[in-house]
Parts: sequence; C-alpha cells; structure tokens
Amino acid sequence: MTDTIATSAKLGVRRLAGNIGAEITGADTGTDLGDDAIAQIRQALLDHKVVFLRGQSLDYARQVAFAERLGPLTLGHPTVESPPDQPFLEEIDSRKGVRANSWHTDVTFVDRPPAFTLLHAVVIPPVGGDTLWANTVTAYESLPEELRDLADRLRIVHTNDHDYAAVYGRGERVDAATQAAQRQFLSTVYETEHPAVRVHPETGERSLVLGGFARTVVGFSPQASRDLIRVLQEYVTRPEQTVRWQWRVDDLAIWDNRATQHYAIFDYGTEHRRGERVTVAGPTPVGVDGRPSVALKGEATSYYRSAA
Amino acid sequence: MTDTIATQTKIGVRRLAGNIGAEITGADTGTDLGDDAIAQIRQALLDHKVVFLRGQSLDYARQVAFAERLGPLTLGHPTVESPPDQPFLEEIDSRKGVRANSWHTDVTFVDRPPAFTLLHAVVIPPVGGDTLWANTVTAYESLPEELRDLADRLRIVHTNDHDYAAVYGRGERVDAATQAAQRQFLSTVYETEHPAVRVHPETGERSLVLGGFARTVVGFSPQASRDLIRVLQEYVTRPEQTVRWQWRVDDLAIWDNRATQHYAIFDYGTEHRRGERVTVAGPTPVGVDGRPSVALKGNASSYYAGATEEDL
Repeated sequence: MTDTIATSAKLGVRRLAGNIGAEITGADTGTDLGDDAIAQIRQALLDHKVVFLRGQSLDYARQVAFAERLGPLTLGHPTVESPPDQPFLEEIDSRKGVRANSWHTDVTFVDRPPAFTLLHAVVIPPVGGDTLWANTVTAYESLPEELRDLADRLRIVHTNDHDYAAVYGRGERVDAATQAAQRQFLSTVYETEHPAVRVHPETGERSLVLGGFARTVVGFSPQASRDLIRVLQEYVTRPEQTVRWQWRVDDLAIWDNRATQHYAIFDYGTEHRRGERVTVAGPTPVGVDGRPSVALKGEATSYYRSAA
Repeated sequence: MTDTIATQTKIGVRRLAGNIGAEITGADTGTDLGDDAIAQIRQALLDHKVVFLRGQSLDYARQVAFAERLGPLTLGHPTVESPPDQPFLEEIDSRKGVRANSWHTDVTFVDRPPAFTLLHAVVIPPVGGDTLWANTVTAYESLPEELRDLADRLRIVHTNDHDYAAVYGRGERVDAATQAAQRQFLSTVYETEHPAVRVHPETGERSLVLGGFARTVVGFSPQASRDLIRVLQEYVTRPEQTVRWQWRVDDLAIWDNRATQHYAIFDYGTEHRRGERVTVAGPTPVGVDGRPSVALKGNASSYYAGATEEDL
C-alpha cells in the first residue's frame, strides 16, 4: 500500500457514551487513506464497537474501496437483491419497505455473519430515524456470574424465518413494498447454530450472540428458549450498554458486527430515509469451548463470494 | 406580571426525535421572562413532553423563581431530605448514592405526583450519564386496540417500597452513601392506587401511568400483575417513543411528568454527576372513567407544600 499524506495524521477519537461509541475526526474515507489511518480506524472500531465519521462524501465505488481496506467484502445480502452493477450494496431504504426497528446483529442466520458493517447516510428524515447500538461485550460482562457460566455453554439456532404475520397484524396495513421486501428477505430460509457466547477473533473478548434472529436454545423447549433468550437479551439492550446516533447526510457509521447489536428507530412516519450498506466478511464464530457455529439450513457460499 | 423585553421574543423550538423532545432556544430562564415566553415554553412542554435549554445559568433562587412560573412547587421530595434552606430542591448527586437507572415517572407513589420536573445540570461526567425520556401518550396510542381497552379499565398500586436487596445482591458492593440514600428513600412507605391510564388535565390526552413504582394490578395475582405491567411497559420503552439527551453543564431539562417516564443512564463509573431538581405540584390523576387516584398508605400532605387541588 502506498503511503499518502494522511499516513502520519493522528485521527481524533471522541467517546460518545460510557460503554460504546466514538466519533472519529480527521479522516476522509473517500480518499486513499494511508495504512496508519486505516489501522487507527480499525483500532477505534475494536475499542468502541461503533464509530461515526461526519461529512464522508462517498459513492458506491469509494465506499467499496474504503470498506475493502478493512477486509474482503460479502455480497450485499444473502437474500435481498442488490442494485444492478452494485453487488456489494444493500439498500436500506424506507421506500423499499426496509425497516430494522428491532434489536439485531446483521445476518446472524448464516454461519459467517459479517465482521464489519459500513452504513452511509444518503437521505435522512427532517426529524427522527436515529439508530441505537448496544455493546454485546460489556453486556456479557454485566451478567451475574452464574448466568455468564450458563450462557457460555448454550448454543442458539438463528434463522431469517421471522413470523412477519405476527408483527404486521390486522389493522396495520402492509404496503406492497413492505410485502415484496419480506418475500425477498425470506426467498431462501437459513438456519445456523451459534454459540450464545463467542470469542472475538481479534480482541479475545467474549460477547453475547443474540438479537432478532435468535430463535431456539438447543436442548430447551420453545417456551424456555424464549424466556432464556429474553433474560440474556435484556442485558444487551439496557440503556447502559447503548449509544444513540442522530444522522446527518454523508455520515458514515462503521460497527463491529461481532460485538454489537443495533436498532433503527422508526419514528419518521412516511418521510424518506436511505442508507447504503456494505459489509466486510467475517469468520465462523467460535464458542468459549472452541466449537464453531454450524449451518443447519440454506447455502450461503455465494454470499461470502471470494472472501477467504 | 410586568411585561419585559423578552415578552415579544419568539423562542426557537427544534424537535429532537420523532415522538418526543425539543430544544428551546432564545430564552434565559435566569431572568424575569415575560408571560408570553412562559406561555411558549409551557406549550412546547405540552407538545413535546420534554424540552431542553442550553446555557441556563441558575442558582437555587433563580431555578425556584422560574419553576414557580409554571405552577406552585412541591417540596424537594416526600422522603429524601433537601439541603438546609433549600426546601424545594432534590439533589440528584452520584456521590450521595442517588441513581435513577430504571424507567420511572417521578414520585408516582403519592396521590398527586408532580406535574413538571425541572432538572438543572451542575456537574456532568466527561463521558456518559445521558438521560432517556419516553412519551407515555404516544405509547398509549401505539397499543393494539384491545390492549388499550383493557388498560383503560385497570387500576395499579404504586409504592416506593422497592425490594432493594433483590437489586443490589451479593457480589455487588453497596457503598455507605447508597445504603443511606436507600434508607432515607424508604423512611416513610407510600402506596397509591392510580388508574393505569390517566386523562391529561391540560391536553386531554390519555397516557399510561406505569414505571418503576408500579407494583400490583388491582384484582390480579402478583404474577399476572407483573406480566401485565411488563406487557404495557414495553410499549412505553420502545425506542420509537424515546429521546436521549447528552448533558452539558447548565442545561435545563423540563418534562411533563404526567406524560413521560425517564431513565438516567449509569455508565460513568465513579465519575461525579450532579443535577438539581425542583418539581411543580400536580393534581390528582383521573382515569378514563373519571375516578381519581387514591392514597392507600402514607400521608404526603406536607410534600405538596400548601398547593391545593384548586391551585393546579
């Protein structure tokens, strides 16, 4: 990698909340950043789990070029179609019926969920549409010891097969865009067994692997599964583990998808909100006992593309 | 009230989230604001449920003087002692063991919880210590119709008698300040039966009356009570109903305690955080069926500091 002027620049890192989140200043991700700047961004990301950069003027090519500095990319999404000629992009667009107002970690229904997600704000409603992130490492550390020991031993099946009918019931009209988005999201059903606690491949930290796709605890009844997942999940979403970001156009958020969950707040009615997302491929999660995640249903190989 | 220069000023109101919260600019609450400015602030408060003003240089006297423009004050707290000569103040001070990191509406264990709370930031940790507010009116409106109809008919007993032992169990060391604060908080036990849904006396809006002091649904078993309260409470704390405020010193937050819950995030370790709080007296809540709240245990009359139902 050729050094550039930016190489010797020290980036600014300002923490945003007690347990997660930092704003990075002094980096233009649309330019060819030096290796040193990239290393600083990656370190801030590992330290703070989600980082934010204002005023990042990115198009598809520049966003992809920057993201690749963090690792090989996945395709945009295992089931949701990317725009023509932009295979690495997932459009997060309210007009296309995409809402993510539930706590989740990206794509945990496959056996190799992304390591990093990069979301670039293109259209932001005049009010509302903030996103929350939660630190699943400090959440794990906040568990009472007995619960931590239990979680260490659990395996949880994640699936994209949500029961949408239960969410969008009678009364609430589901528009055609939302229906189409849901159909596409479920065009292939995936199921993966993950450890409830994974060991982070870069930091060695333990983190809870839960979120909206977590369905069943292996060896437990459906009711006990729901109850257990809920008990653990409440430690993740306690406000103490969170940060909230109020978007402006051209903000770039980057999060460590191996150590966070997030929630896109839907409080902007019919206003337009659009983000453009690319994801860096991640390795197979590994539990405290060294056992890796196991795909149970659905073939995601093409999603990982050429990523090693 | 004499008009002042500020009277003609149009204050700025900038919304902060989709369903709750606004920042007010152009008002110095440490001065003698005109009636028109006060009316605009009150209206913003009713519209947005919580409002924030930056750079408000307030001492006790000025904070009290401004708060009284919104109505007669209560004492600082029914059980927690106020500083000498500052009877209307409650200190929200991390060094005194006061933490409020659970969702609650202020003082719902008495039969006339405050109408408004005014919290002035005096010491803020370098990172963390944000506060969340949730809109209990939009939460009510977001309930499925059947659940709304059920909630309209429920009565819920609120009490300050928390089971602290359950929260601060073995392992977690409770410091002396926290223990003392808990003892004082519980020096008198209060219990009040409130409607689960109250009709707001100024806006006519319906709002859920829940939060950390809500203990038992009248006529339901303890387990069913907990489950029901939880189901309803989750509609309140959904991120869609919330706003989060990152404090600076001299921020003043004012919230409509009849239409909100809040949560002070404890993510600042041993750093110091201090706010000074005064509250405007509120009337007895009234349910959808017109039935008022009823005090069951503890006499809070001195807390109301002479403010009668007719004053409110």
